[in-house]
Amino acid sequence: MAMSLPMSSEATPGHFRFIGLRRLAKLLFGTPLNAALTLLFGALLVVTVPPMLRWLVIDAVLFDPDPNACRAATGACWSFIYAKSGQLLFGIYPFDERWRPAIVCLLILALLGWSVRPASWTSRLLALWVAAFALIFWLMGGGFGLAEVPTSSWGGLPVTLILTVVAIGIAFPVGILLALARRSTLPAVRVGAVVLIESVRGLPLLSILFVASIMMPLFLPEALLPDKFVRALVALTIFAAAYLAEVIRGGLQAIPNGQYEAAAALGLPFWHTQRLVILPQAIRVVIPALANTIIVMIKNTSLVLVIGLFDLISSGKAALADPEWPSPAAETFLFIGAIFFALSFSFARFADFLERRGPAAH
Amino acid sequence: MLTSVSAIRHVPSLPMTNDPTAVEMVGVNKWYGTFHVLKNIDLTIQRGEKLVICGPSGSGKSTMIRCINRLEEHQQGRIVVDGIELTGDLKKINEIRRDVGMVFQHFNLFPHLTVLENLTLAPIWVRKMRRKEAEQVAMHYLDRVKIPDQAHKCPGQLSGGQQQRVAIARSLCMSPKIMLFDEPTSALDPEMVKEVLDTMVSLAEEGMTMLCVSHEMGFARQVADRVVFMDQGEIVEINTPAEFFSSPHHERSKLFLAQILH
Amino acid sequence: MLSDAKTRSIIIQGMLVTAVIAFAALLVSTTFANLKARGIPIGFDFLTMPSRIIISEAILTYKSRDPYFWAIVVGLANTVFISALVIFFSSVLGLVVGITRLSSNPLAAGTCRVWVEIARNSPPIVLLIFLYSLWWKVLPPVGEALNPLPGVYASMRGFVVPAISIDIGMTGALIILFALTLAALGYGLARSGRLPPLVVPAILAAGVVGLWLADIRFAVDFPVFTGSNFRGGSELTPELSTILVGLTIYTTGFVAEIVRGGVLSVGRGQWDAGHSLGLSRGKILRLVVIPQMLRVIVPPLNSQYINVVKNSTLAIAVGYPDFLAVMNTIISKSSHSIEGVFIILGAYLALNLTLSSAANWYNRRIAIVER
Repeated sequence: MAMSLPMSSEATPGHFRFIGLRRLAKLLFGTPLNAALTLLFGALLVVTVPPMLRWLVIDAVLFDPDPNACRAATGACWSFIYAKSGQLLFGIYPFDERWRPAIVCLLILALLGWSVRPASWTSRLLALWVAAFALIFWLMGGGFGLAEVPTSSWGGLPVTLILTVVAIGIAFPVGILLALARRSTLPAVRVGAVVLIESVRGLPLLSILFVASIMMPLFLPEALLPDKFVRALVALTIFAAAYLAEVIRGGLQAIPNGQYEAAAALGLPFWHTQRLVILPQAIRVVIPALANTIIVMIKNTSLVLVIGLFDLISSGKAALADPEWPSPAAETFLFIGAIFFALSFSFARFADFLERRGPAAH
Repeated sequence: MLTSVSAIRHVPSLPMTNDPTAVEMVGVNKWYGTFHVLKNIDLTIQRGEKLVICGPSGSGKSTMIRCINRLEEHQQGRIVVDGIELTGDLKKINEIRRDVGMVFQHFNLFPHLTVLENLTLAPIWVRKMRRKEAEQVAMHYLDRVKIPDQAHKCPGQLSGGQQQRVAIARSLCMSPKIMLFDEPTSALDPEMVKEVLDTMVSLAEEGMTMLCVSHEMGFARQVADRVVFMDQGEIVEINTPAEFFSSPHHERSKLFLAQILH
Repeated sequence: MLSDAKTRSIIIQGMLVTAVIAFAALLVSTTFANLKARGIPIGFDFLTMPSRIIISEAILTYKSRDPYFWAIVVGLANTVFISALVIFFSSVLGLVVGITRLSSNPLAAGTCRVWVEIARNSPPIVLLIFLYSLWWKVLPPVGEALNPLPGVYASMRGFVVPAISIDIGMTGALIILFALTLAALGYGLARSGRLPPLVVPAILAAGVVGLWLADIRFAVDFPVFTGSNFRGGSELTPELSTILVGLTIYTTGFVAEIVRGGVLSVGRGQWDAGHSLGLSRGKILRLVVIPQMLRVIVPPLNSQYINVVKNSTLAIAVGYPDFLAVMNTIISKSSHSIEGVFIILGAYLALNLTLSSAANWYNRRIAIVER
């Protein structure tokens, strides 16, 4: 197997400009191993791709609003997705008010796109997000001239996006504090941080969500009990904070002692040293790892359906329950999967970009 | 250039009290675990005095000057800096650190900040200076260490000698009363040693109180009032530079000089 | 006074401990108050009572008359079973996919890249639900079951695979235990070098004889297709099959990336150095490259395996009763939520610790091999 390794170095980007049929043939059939691989994977693709294409596109019903067209067709029923897109994306949010979650989604995505540019990482960005979230919660929840919509009616993509962004947003400073606590010289602080971080990381997120949804009513006095949305948010935040703490701790460990000494020699107190000298460097070191953790969190928000929150999957399931349509489950979940894929794939490419740029930034 | 420097000539902060002593160490002892790093150190440094501390590696000379601004904690004895005794009191420690500048072997500049930001960080956040004022002060000292044109670069883009001069300027921005130098030239390429030493000499000529851990004999001869020789955690000999280099009193001093001069 | 380092450290820690205790006290007291108000007793004695919950499928035998503790064990066994199979299959597949991604063949490398990207960028729960919805769409009815490998059938009703049964008597088991102990002892002594070399083969031989005496009947029962049904073999339900396939697809993507990173981490210089010493390709691979690669991939692989255990909780999405699902049912049925939460926490921490310590042990072994 290792025979193929040294050859992979030939495929440098510069070579592709001169790639010709002959070269392609050589890559595909140049060695016995490559020929065998080509035959094997060629056969695999020939068996799987045409039927997939037939189902996905050729035999599929695209926009026909008549449910019976889907019953007659052998391919995918995309017209269902098209007809139900509002319900899929926004769940049980009141029909007439759907423009509100739509604006919220666009706002969050636009802000995310804006925020990933390293040029916009200033303290102003934080203010922008805080302002945006005031606007978002007003748009979603209503009041001040808008019809009120309780969180139990929130659903679909905005729930997924809000949960992701808020959980990470709160978890990030908490994670920093936990990471600092884990490196503290005070034993009680250190032990507390270790116990919290390691027990959260040792548990499946689902079990934490269960604890949050089943146990909180028992743990807390009734007056303090938050609604389901906030409970899920608390669980996701604790989970994210523990993982982010470990990532940030990795960055802190990469900072040489001389930086602490130089800051101390200048008379900078502890928190100033951390905020102005240590953390900016530590976080820069772990940006790729942070991006990965954020991708994990984007994917993890899909679990809130299990505790009965109305995210994308639940709204998909609700849409499928319509007896008029032939319940095209595979198409619906493919659509939902594609939304998650688009979110996390684009974030992953951004992480790659940062990783490649990383060494030059110093 | 010279005129611009003398126009806003730096006046080292004058002693606030009449006490002529800058640093006083009495019976200082320190251990790393069971290893005795500093043994009964007694040392008094007058204001305006220049001290060069030398000795073989592991002799405790760095540890000693790092005790002066409490980068290392001593376990026994008394250290009084500028009239303030060093104890566990964090407030007093920060007070002392504000008035004691330190230059490190590996510069320890903040790589994520520009040169100018490196210089203004402490004046703004510790001295509560306004940004504009801090930048003026910073440019003044960058001028003095002769690299005002590098102000907006990152430390990584400068040569070692330039970085060390930035580090000196960074300390000077806090208008320190005492400057500690921990082997400031030993991480530098040979051709850059002179530019850093020149900066230190001019600083000495202005009357700064200086403690330098250094093996640069030329520098010691030129500026030092006294040379302190340390070995195995003890102060073995304190002498004038002329006498120390020509006829050291102690056997261990002789052995050490023989080693570094050949 | 407050600025003294020691005083301050005591005050901070004291405040933290007090806060934690106060918080815990608040939780405990409100919990007890809430439980009392609802008339729910506390204690683990419910574990021995008949559970009367339904577990739709299990690796171990289970009847609803069995006590709660047995239901818990059955759920745990399901989780361990899923995790073990997924870890095994995704390790094998991940090795193949990871190395194929490095191939110069664009068709092979590209296909594997698509796999990896899909796995890494989809939420596993969506993957599982999607696969589950595909099950009846793609697979034929039992009558036309697919037969991709000898002895393996796939149809709407799930997978049918050969059943492996190992039949040993009680005395046999004891003899095996004895022989294994002897063998392990012999191995350990041989490593520390305190025994003359001949003793070790003798002990090993004794072990082999013991195994033979133990009279193990090892049987593989291949399923036979009868036209409308299967005879023999083990049937895996669509739910179990979906979880196994889905989590394996998902985990394989991550294992492949770890393997690829491991191979790339061993630089070409190592191959050159090996060649310049006159080592053959196989020897370089075995003596130089693989040991270094293992050192790089074992820690991330271990955390991936722990993730498999955690992801097995997603079984709930397709209705397979894994440990968490069983515990969830038990909690809602028995109302012993506090006890249930402690059992959940304890079980997952124990599983993960077991995996971690196995990985650590293995890591130490490679580290020794390296020197």
